[in-house]
Amino acid sequence: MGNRRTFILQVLGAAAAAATPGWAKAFVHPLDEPAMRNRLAARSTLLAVTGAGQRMVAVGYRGLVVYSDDEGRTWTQASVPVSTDLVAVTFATDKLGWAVGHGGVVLHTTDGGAKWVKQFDGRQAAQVAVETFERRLAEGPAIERLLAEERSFVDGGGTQPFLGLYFENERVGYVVGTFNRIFRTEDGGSTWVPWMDRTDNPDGLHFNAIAGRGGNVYLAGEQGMVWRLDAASGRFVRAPTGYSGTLFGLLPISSTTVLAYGMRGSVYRSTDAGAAWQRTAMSSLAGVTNGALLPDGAVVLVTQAGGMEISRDHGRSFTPLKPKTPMSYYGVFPGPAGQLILAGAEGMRSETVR
Amino acid sequence: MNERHVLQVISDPKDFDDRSGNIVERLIFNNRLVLVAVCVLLTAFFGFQMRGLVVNASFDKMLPQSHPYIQNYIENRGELRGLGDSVRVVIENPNGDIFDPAFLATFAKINDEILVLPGVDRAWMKSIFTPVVRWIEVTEEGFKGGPVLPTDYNGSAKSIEDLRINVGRAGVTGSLVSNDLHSSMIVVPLMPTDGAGNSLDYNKLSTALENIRSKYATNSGEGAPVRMYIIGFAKMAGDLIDGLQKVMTFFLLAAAVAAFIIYLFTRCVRSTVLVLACSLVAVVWQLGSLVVLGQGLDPFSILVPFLVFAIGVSHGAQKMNGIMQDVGRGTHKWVAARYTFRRLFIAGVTALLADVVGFAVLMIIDIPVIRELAMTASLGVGVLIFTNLILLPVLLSYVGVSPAAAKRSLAEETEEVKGRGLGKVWLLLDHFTERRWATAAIVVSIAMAVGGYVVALDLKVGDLDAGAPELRPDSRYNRDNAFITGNYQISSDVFAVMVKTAPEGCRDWQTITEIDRLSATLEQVPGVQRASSLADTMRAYIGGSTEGNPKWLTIPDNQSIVDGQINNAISWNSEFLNTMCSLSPVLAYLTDHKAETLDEVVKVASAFAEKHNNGDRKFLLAAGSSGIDAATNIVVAEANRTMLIYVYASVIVLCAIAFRSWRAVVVAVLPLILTSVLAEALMVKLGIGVKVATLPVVALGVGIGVDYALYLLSVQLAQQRLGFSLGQAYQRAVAFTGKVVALVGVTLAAGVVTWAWSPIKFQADMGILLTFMFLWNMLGALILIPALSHFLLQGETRRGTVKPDEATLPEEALAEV
Repeated sequence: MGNRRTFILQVLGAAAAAATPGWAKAFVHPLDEPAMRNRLAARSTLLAVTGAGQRMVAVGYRGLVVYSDDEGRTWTQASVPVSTDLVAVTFATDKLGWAVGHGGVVLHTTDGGAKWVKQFDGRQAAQVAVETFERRLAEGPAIERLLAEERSFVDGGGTQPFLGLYFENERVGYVVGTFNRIFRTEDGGSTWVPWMDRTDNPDGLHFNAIAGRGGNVYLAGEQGMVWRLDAASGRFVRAPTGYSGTLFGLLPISSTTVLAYGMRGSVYRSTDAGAAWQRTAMSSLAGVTNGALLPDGAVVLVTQAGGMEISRDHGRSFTPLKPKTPMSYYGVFPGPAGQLILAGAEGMRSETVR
Repeated sequence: MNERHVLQVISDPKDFDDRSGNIVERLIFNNRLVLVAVCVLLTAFFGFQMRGLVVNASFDKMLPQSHPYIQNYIENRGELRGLGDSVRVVIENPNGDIFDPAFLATFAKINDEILVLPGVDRAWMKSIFTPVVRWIEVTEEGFKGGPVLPTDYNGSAKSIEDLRINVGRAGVTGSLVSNDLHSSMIVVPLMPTDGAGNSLDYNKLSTALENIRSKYATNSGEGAPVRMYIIGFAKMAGDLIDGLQKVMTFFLLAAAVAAFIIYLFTRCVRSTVLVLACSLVAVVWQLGSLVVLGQGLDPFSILVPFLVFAIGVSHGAQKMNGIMQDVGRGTHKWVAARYTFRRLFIAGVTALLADVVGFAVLMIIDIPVIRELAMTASLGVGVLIFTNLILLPVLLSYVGVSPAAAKRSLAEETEEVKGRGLGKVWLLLDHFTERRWATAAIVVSIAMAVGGYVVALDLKVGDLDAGAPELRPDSRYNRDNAFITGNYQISSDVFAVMVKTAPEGCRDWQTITEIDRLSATLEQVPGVQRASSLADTMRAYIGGSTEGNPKWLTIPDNQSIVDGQINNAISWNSEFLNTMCSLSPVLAYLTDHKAETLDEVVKVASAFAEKHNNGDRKFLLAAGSSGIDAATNIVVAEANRTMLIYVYASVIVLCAIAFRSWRAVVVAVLPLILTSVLAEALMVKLGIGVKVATLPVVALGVGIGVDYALYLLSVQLAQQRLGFSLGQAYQRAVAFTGKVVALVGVTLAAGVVTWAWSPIKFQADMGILLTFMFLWNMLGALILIPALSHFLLQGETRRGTVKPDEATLPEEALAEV
């Protein structure tokens, strides 16, 4: 009787399932959904902007990538296979570029940013990390801890984002993100190796950015922390700024001089590749979100509150600029002759620096 | 039978057999005193009831109740904060920005006074002085936040500076504070009913706001004078009701014009007064019965008393006409009244029934204000059967008419039948029964119909002007609206999609991701200025919780991160979710409320819903002013079609019964169709869209328009069946009824043309359209009926019958049928 009843219930259940396929549409993860065509692409929120030869490329919400071949006057939407929020973009050559963002996605372009393909995502990253640490379990408790951590991310559901990336050249590059997560590639992004065991980050702080210049590579993250890649040991070693708040990014302006910036108008400057830091005064308490080194050597930092400050002494001191039409700025890149190309809450804009 | 069909001239009532006539006639005329007494009592009763007559407008009654969008809205309205009925009050400092101690003191007082107004949903009132408006900031120590109004606010320079900082970090510039910082807004949500369940009295609320405005607008008030701008349905309804009171005075004007026309027609003071009095009695009964039924007047049903009066006057005038001629022949007034009743009761009832049909088809429109209009109007016209078809002849049987006027009337008709006097006009019309003129008239009509049709292709559905299209563009309300849209980044045209989930379902990151997608999808529609939703709140809160890092302005696929921020949104009273977390609106702010804009948004939102609805969440259209507009447009466009079909079908049936000839039906209906087409073309030219207010016009235009054909054609056909040729029959018909047709056309038009000066835009539109339809239908009937008859109705003339003498008057000939 009981069996019979179960059987009937199963049949009914199957019938019900078969009868309702029309509306029971499954949710599509943004990693599996291409970015939608956006009529207002250049007026939508964009979080980062960079250059690829003469071209300008910016990334933003819901897989939006736009590029401009006329110095930021008009923008074209690129073809992108995911619709997760993209937060950082970089080019190793005029044609070869990468972008990272939420969903742990790593996108790659070979045509200067018009068409992008997915190289890596958060699900693969977790799998690669777990497999790698499982293989290396014998190396000791540090690896054991990292494996446990990766497994807990998987169990928690969802993916971990990548918040920053840096490519030394068209083969070697890094992507970084939450909870001490960092991966390195030596083949232009085809394969990624977890580097979580090569950071001095026992608290598992988030990495918000990675940048490099002249052989030095830096990480910036929570609690005012900066790390520098020590070539000898092949590890990212601590280079704390002394600040307690979060750093959003880094701007290396020479092989040894670097600026770290973050929340509440905090800017720190080091002239010895991060060994010692001095605070640089800004005129407002707004979070500093990005910076750019101009061709003439001037340094520009932009803020969330639509502020913009310029330094003509390699970041020692800053003076405010007055943008024509301010918005929340998230990214800045030098344009042609005295122009700044800005990405922000209202899309792409340009301002003139006098 | 023999004695019944001859209406002899009887000068002494003693010679009249009071058992003659049908039972209704005997019942009425043999109990005249009882009837008059009953009518007096009823009039007194209804007149007394009219004390309780209220003029109001209701937000809900304007909603097309059974449209799925509206049902979705009504089902969920309790959970939709700030999307329901609300008023926005903007207070401007004429002498600088809002951070001025004197101005803020006044602002606080106004804020407090508005808070305690009846009907205000106090918990959700929003201004920089209410605790629900908060700022959030990220510091090294974490999230910081609080009400925009500093808790220790005391008007000192320090606390004003704090307020200025809080306004900045709350991001309310453009929403609660104007872009130029010179004014600030109070958003006042309203509750549809008070604690006792009484519906909100918009007029009272509007007056109360107006009192606050005048109190603080002058130096005599407390504090520095401020300027106030008020918008919202309640204010608009209040202004409409004020406008209605002005419209009441138009009623007097319409009555005066009608009196003048009747007097011209009858040249008899007694009968003019009687006709007006009976029509007024009808209005009193109609308004009184409204109160008894527990209803009031609203901006739509205010047209009913006008129409009842105008229809009453025109029908009353016909009764006069008949009685006068009988009296002119020497018949006693009591007998004359009975003869007239005998001759015209059935015709009058038929014509009134046609009017009732015109009103009654409005019942199919699923909008309560229109249903009520249909009901009260049918009632009003029904009342006319008593007052103007029964009471009027009875009163006439007492009062009689002026003998001189009676003689004059008879002489005139005799002249007209012979083609003299006014008959010259009728002779001119007579030409239309001849081939050449008929062809010309029909060719011209076809050309007009084609031209009209081409123009009418551009006919739009919905409201075409910005602001409140119910009021004139230069009205105070619309100027206030223009100020607010000019100085704030809010559009009053909001289209909301309701995202419905199981309780706690709105916190699912997948739901929020879908909300974000819908919001982005809606922003792609060209008429959408901006969309906003829970997804924006989540992006901002998650960015805030990660120290304000813009890279975290996202909706992560980690439920635990989302959960914490949803809890914050709930405890900070976000209007994007309900406390059960089962409903979240996605708002699209539109550039205007034109039909194309709404259509496009509806199309995109429905396609999204179709694609993304599943067991976990449903995307329900639609709330917000534009959601309601969209549903109303859909219902109105559909109703416009079905109503035309119904009204024409019923008119065709009525004509078929009256004429018993399909050819005659064609002759009667074609001119109406021409008028309908031309009326649509006129709407295009005047920039009037098809909307709730124009539906009654279309139905009435046809329903009342057919009266003319009923009068003219029934006489013409009868004469033809007596053996008169078409030309003769038409001449006789037009001589007999032409004046009445003209009279009806002119009195009806006079009743509504005054509305063209109404401060209420849609009433002005209705007035212009109705005037056009009444007059054009009259012309159409007088010209096209003979022209069409030439081609279709020649065959109706019965050959071989003994044709009566041409000198017999048409009604005498008729009486002998």
